[in-house]
Amino acid sequence: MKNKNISLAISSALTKVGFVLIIICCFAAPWLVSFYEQSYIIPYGIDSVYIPLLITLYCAAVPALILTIALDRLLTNIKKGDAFIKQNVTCLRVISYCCFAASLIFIYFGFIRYFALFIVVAAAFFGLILRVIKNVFEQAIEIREENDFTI
Amino acid sequence: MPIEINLDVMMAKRKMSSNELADYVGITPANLSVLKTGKAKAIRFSTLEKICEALGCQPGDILSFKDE
Repeated sequence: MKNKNISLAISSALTKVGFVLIIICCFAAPWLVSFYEQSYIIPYGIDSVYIPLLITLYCAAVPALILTIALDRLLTNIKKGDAFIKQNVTCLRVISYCCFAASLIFIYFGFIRYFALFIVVAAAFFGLILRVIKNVFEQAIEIREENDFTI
Repeated sequence: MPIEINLDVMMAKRKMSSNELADYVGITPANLSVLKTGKAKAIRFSTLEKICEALGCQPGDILSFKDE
């Protein structure tokens, strides 16, 4: 029980840290991208990707923020002791859609820099796994309801 | 639902209150109310046994099948 609480606290804290990091990255994005440009692009004389990279990052920040908020809500519900409720299924669905959205956003950058295709595949695969977990949750809710109404 | 629970009738006959019955059967009054209002999806044999014991009746006295 104690371990479970610690694990939940760590997850919750990490989610909050992630949320703050994303916001910081949003503000620091122009600086970060220009740093990347100066260290990896300009010395090798490759075409600049400043604007496309910035657009991709800002577009990807939106699903990332929604995802962390949904994750936080999910963790709050689990902390309260009701893991198997309808709201959690919605949260998981939102998270999986956010993963798919991130994957779609990075397709554009994938045409410019091939390494971004790795992110596309990873995000899409992650979204797929979450969808399956969502289905499992739906089934679990049904079983729980059946169990709750067995007197 | 084709299966109906006529717990109220039997409880009235035996003049037993909900709380009393819930206490005897060992379920919460909230769960007993779920059973009485017909929201329950299933009933355990152990619960049915205790209810019959408390009310001194047969399962057929509290459960009935209605053809729709």
